[in-house]
Amino acid sequence: MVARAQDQLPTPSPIEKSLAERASHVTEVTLDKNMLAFAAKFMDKDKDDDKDDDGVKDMIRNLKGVYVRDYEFDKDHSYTSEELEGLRKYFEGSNWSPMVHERTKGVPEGTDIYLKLEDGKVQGLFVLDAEEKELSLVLILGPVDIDKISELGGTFGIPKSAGKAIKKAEKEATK
Amino acid sequence: MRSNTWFALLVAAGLAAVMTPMILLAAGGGGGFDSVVHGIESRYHTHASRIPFMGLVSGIAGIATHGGVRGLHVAEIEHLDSPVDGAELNALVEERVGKGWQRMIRETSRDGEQQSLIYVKPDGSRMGLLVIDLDGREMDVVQVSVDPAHLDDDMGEFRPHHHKRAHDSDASDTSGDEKQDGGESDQGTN
Repeated sequence: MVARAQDQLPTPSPIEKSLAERASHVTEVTLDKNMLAFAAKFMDKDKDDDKDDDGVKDMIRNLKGVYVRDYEFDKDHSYTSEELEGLRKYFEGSNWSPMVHERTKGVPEGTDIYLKLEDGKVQGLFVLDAEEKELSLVLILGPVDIDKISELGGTFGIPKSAGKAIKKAEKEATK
Repeated sequence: MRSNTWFALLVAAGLAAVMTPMILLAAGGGGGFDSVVHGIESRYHTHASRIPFMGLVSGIAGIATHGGVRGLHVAEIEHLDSPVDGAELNALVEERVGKGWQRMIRETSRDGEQQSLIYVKPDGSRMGLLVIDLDGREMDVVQVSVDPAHLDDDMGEFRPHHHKRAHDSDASDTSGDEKQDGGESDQGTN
């Protein structure tokens, strides 16, 4: 990912382009503020008075953007540690804080979760989830409710595996 | 006589309300559906089949959904001569789609057999959706204008009862499954 301003959705980096060329299946989802507001309109009409859902709707309405890239490969570990490092670099030297680092010994697999903190509030979340045959990037910009964000797993193109990783982060955050 | 004039005026106004978004979206300021379909026809030396009476179908859809769905355009391209390069198709659509359209989703397979592009264009309370879907040697281009407020009112009537029961009983496990199922469905749509 190539950074624009820290609160704007990034443009794809050369690493992402290279991964896309090698992947057997690529999913790219880019939702800006307008589109998210539109998605929240659909949810506004939900007749069920579920307060949890209301919280998720409010969160979506206030988000600035969602950026998802999911690469599926035919062969195991079709990406390198260097490429993962390159993707993580987007979040170095800024107000993003690493929250979860999970590594599998001997292979470049693992999960990274970064939070963007401003005045003690979570203003963004980045998940890099590298599995045997799948690599997922999820960037969510805007005020994030850490208790509710995992509910977005499986929606807006966010892979369920990333949702699970976010749940791990929730647990870490509440420790 | 006078009531007949009023009736004719009302019919004309109704038709204008139904047709205007269709015409505006199709024209799309030089982009949108027609421009994309012409671009594909020209690049792949093919001819898109337009569904007959689509204007009428679109008008009926508009009335049936209380304005939730309007401006339906469908073009079907069959028997493409050669495999389609995903990057090339993406660049072609990007160039032809015109101002205001933003790509929301791109799904592509390396062998080029499957390509999906979904563009959106916010338009006040409505949203234009343009879908280009390639499956093997067949490509479909669909454009529609949706109003979430009206569309969801109609969809609400057809929500499965078990969905409501899950919420009513506040059974956390069940509702969790419901949400997961819904999520999977969303992703599948993507």
